[in-house]
Amino acid sequence: MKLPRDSDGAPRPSAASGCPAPRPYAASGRRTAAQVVVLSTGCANLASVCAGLRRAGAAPRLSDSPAEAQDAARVVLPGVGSFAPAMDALEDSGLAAALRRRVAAGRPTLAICLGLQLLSQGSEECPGRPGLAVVAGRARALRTLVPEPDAAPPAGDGAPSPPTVLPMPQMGWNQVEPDPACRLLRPGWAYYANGYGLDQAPSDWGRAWSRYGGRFVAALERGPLLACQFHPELSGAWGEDLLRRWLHWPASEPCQPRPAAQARSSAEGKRC
Amino acid sequence: MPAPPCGAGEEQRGGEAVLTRRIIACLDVRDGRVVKGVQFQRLRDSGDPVERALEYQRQGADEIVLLDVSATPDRRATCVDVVAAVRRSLSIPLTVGGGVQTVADAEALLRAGADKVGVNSAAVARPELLRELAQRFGSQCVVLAIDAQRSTSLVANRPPLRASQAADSRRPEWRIVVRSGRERIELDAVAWARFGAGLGAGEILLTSWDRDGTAAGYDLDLLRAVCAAVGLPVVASGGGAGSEHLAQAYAAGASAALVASILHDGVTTVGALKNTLRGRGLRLRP
Repeated sequence: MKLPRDSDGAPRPSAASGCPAPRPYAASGRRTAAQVVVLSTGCANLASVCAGLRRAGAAPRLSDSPAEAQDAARVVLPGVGSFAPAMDALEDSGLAAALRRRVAAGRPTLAICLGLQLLSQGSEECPGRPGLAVVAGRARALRTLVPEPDAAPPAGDGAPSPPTVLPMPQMGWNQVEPDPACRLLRPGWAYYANGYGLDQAPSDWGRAWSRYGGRFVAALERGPLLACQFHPELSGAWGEDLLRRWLHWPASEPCQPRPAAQARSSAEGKRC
Repeated sequence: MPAPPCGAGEEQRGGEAVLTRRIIACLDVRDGRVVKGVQFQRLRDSGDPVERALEYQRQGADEIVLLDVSATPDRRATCVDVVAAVRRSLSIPLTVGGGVQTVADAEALLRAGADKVGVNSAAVARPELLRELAQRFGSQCVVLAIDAQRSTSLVANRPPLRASQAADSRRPEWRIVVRSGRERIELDAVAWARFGAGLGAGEILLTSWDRDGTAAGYDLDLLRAVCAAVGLPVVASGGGAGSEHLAQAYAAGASAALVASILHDGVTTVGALKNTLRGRGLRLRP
């Protein structure tokens, strides 16, 4: 079988930016699968995360090496469990410092669920225990979230309806609404299993939101950095597409924050 | 805009508390095949687990639950190979239960690709298992599966128990059934649910033994009692055979409803159920 000429997987430089162009999603059999290091933090659903990455065309490999955590081409920080034990594990293994440097350098990194909260400054789940603090903000208990003041009142009567008691933790699907500046994140439905979440997020990240009682951060993105409160590996075709976009996002793209007004404007906004 | 149909109120209010209900397809698996019976007995073949799981995912199922129904009575190892095979292709959550006795059993299932692990008989025998699992894997991974049987002698005499009464009741309204229905235990199902939640379970999979496989609808009194007793998501199971049953379960407080036979037998699809329920104003994933 004769393969198309450009199917060797070599990234072609983009005229606009000098960044390698994203690879097409449907990788041919000949193409080398994207190598991904999944940090083995002892959390529960590593196998499921790896299976999700494989379905998206990647070749995941488990590692607990700080050197790899810092320098590998693509790293996934999965997370299920509690904030403090997870931070302890990261600090004890030397992964915490490696991750801080990695995120500061803007290397392609995907944090999932608790992984997003670990990037923040801390969590109400374990007060006094600092997080990696590469994202400004703190995780709060979802049960303390309140509806936004601008939320549409119920149709018909003006009286506020008593809040429905939502089961905790949130276990199920919810709508994800990205800000217009987002490039990896798109509107859709994602699967969550969380009792905590960030209620605020810094404006130097692209942000997506969901509502459970009140609004919380569904995901953050900045260049090839992606942090999801939901589980992309369990979010059906939408989640698989998101993983593919992240896997094929140019690793070398710089990740300067962009003014929000610019982001909305044009296709050129695709490059930093 | 036309007024939403009756019963739609809670799902659509402004930007506040909105719960997306789930439909979960359940695969009872024995010896690598999907089976289904009535009250856990008289099992018949319903196909290949991987094919079934992917078909229900295509139909729009929100999760798959895989129960190894042969595991507990036979004391066999759970079907790790089936879990791994399903996981390779399945991109929605997968809960696996049946015969989980220890943290190591749960770990083997998680390593094979399960996202959540259901425990039933072993937690009744040794509740501390729930705490161990939650500490090791996080509550999000721990599903307390409860099989409850109605104590018919009591039902005629009084209305359904309130949650506050359930804790103090000496004569349970629903008793626990373990070992796939082979053993009944004098333990109140509602009190057990509350106790299990306190130990670290993250979700309750609540099966009515009386309704299982009967297509008579979920046991709504049981659902109401357990939902009032715990703040956790509760999955209704046993007897659901149509959109009306699911709507009743959600109204009784269930976050999710489990269906099996009606899907296996091709009576309906997840997509058809969701369309009907959405028409009633319920919020479900497209």
